[in-house]
Amino acid sequence: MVSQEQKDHVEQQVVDEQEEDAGVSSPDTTPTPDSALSDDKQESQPEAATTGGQQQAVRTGKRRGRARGRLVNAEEVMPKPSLWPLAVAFSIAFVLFGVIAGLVVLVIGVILLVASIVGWILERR
Amino acid sequence: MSVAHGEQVRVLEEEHGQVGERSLNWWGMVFFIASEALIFANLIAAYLYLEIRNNNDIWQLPHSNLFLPLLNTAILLGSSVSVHFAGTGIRKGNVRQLIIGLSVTIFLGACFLVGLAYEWTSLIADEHFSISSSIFGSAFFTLTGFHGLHVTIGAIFLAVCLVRATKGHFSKQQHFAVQAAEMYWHFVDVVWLFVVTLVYFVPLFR
Amino acid sequence: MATSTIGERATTIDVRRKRFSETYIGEWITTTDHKQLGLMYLITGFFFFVVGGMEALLIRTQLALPNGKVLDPDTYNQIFTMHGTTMIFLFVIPVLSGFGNYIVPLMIGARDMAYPRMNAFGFWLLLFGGIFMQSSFLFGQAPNGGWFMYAPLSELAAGHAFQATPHMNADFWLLGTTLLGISSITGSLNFVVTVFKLRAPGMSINRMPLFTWMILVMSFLLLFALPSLTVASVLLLLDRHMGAHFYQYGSGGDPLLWQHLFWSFGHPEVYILILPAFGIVSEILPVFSRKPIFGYTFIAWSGVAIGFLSFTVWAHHMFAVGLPSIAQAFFATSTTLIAIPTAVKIFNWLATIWGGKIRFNAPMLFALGFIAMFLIGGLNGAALAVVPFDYQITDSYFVVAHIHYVLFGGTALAVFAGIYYWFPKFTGKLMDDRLAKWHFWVTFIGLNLTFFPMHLMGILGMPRRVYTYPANLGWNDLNAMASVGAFIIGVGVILFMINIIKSLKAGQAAGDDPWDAYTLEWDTTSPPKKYNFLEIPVVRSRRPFYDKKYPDIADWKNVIKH
Ligand code: HEM
Ligand SMILES: [Cu+2]
Repeated sequence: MVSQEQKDHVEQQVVDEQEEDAGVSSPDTTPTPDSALSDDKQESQPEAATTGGQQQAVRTGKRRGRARGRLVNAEEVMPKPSLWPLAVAFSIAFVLFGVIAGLVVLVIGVILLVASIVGWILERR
Repeated sequence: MSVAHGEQVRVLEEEHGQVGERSLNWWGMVFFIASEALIFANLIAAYLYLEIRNNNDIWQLPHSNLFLPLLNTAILLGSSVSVHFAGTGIRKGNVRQLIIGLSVTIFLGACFLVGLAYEWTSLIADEHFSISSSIFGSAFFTLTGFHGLHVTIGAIFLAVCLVRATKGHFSKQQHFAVQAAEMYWHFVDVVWLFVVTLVYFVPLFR
Repeated sequence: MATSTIGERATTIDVRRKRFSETYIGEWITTTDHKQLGLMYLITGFFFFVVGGMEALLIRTQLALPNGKVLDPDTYNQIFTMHGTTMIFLFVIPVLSGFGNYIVPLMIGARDMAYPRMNAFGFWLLLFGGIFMQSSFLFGQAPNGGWFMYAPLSELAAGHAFQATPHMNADFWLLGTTLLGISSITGSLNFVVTVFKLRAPGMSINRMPLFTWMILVMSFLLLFALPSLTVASVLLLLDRHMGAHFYQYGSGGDPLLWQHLFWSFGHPEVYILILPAFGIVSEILPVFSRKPIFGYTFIAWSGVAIGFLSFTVWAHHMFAVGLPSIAQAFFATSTTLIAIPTAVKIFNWLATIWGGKIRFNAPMLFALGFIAMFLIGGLNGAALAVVPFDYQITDSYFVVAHIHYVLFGGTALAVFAGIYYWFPKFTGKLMDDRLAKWHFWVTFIGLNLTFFPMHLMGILGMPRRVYTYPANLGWNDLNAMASVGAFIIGVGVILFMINIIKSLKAGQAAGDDPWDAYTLEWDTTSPPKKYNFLEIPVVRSRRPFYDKKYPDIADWKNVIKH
């Protein structure tokens, strides 16, 4: 059901630029979480050498000492707003209310539910 | 809370998972199926609880005809093969194989449901065995009905995938929906093995 | 904290029309941002807290004096049922998932939850489920079978002789909890995957903040416990509407099946309600004692142990139904066992405070109150695990005392602690500490005045859920005390609301890190930017933000590397 989201993630992980290979995260960074990194150079240097290459499947990510990466527009990493969650939730509630209230409500609810699920699936993300 | 246009943030490569790792959605699907599996575990536990409590009467269907359940089992197992065929297809980027596999699976799923419906109607109409006729009836129709419901959902899921496949939504890289539908279908099949054993075969050994 | 490479690019002037999702209302109802959803969960939860609180006051008014006639008996049943249901399903769970939603991604250095749309979906289901449930009052048919909806009381026709719940009361409950259940399932899927897959580089599983740990365990419990409730509800609905016989003794069914199914959900559920509270307290105590948490590993893994054990103890709610004695022995043992990991936590918390430079701000006060009250609740829980004792006081007010010491003295105090702790992060404003202390003491006194006498009432034989009682049983004073206490708690809640409103309007600016805290959520602006972190932080110890602030004495420089 969430296949569109999946696409998104796939797209983003495919793009992988190798800017700033020099090994310095950014010139003269003011204290950031990685400010202590300079002490850690020796430890992380060899890793950086490998991850700079194309095989990022090597799981160095979690222990790497340096936050490298590329700059993107903030909007790109944030989830897009969507009305469909509300619509699907409402229709489910409606369907269950139909169980109590009778067939007419139930049928309307099912139609709403199908429509909103389709909307959810087809929404371009 | 909105963000000024043009504001930039830094993205790590690994933020969205490594290539070759299972995707987020795969994990979500696994836990979802685990939770669904527990629904069946509870249903089966309830079935056994009631069966044991009614130790005196043997819980055997009035017609005790094993042909239909065996046929249905064969159909479902076959459909597991065909859905796997579809999945392998798209993993190789072969959309045609995907479409064929999905169509066959949906067809088999429909056959299964027809078989179930046939059994239900004959039980209800000919044998007067229904959900309210006895506690065994309640348990039988609920368990098989729940499973049938899941087959239906799975078939709809596959049908959606089929439509999308014909529209060219899937490729070698992007086909999570197919993968999820495949996982779900295998799950439904495995559940059937438990159901059929419990309902049809266990009474034979009592 | 922007670094030199990161800044705002010149804003291109954009003259398109506002999209719907950018209007004020549109932004709320289309949001998929974990922080906004977290706040929406919290607001919804507190709304229902007030609803449930009103119901509680009605109950206590009815019981304040012997032979009370404030409510009629049927309404009384509806009110106490809805009180329990509302507090558990519509207050505690939403508020805890609200904290989880807001805080967990920040704590683990992620930009959002794994599935933002599902997250929104879970929230809306919760809201509609809540409305669904409460709307039953409009029909005059609110659920009336107690929060555990025992069959055959909740059956339409129990056997052929009499109609137990002929109207829709039970249906509202069954369908409502189903909605809320789906909501919780989506929520916990989201938490599990988020915590497993979206942690910042370096945040290994044993560097995760304890709150995150507890949310993780809670999510697993929800995932694996809720199916029992779903099945129980479906079977009951089939009984009620399709003529099945699952819970009808005369036709071969068994009401105890309901109890087994319900409690195999219900007991994990009570730990679902307390584990995140453990997490909140485990975050607050170290910050306000200026020490790292003591026994991190023990706290984390005792949480996991509690999670596992909680699936093995359900029948301690059924000691009086005539289980075989071997089963009673088993469940009494497992129940007592569960007290061990619980006590481990308490000792760890005490050791955390021990020798610390304690600051008695409101969050700390509430956290300390939590420990004390939860201790009482845990101890009388252990008393309930003793089968012969339980025979005497099960279904009496003693049980009511137990659940309120753990849930109100425990979870609710921890929730308040969490609000006082994270409010500056949510809003950028400090809360009024003096008013908060008033809130604490009023609540603390009120809660002990209300719930302590209930132990005695129970021992004196007052059954829970009775409509009223005659004057000559010696319960009068205790009941009067409890009712006074309930209204004192009510005053406390009003103080809390005043504080919220006042602080929102005129609270002092908090800055990004008012408590000099340790975890990553404080490494953002207050309130955090929508994308949380400009740059995903890199974690090198259990207190990443502390390391960043005090690089010379950073944790990871210590001998022990985690
Ligand atoms: C130290 C660990 C605990 C033990 C040994 C324990 C034991 C028990 C026992 C034996 C009962 C059944 C009483 C009866 O109905 O006769 C009970 C009821 C209950 N417990 Fe606990 N408990 C513990 C902790 C907790 C916690 C942490 C919570 C929730 C936050 C909790 C919530 C409840 C609730 C809600 C009930 C009442 C259910 C009902 O009948 O409505 N307990 N407990
Ligand atoms: Cu319990």
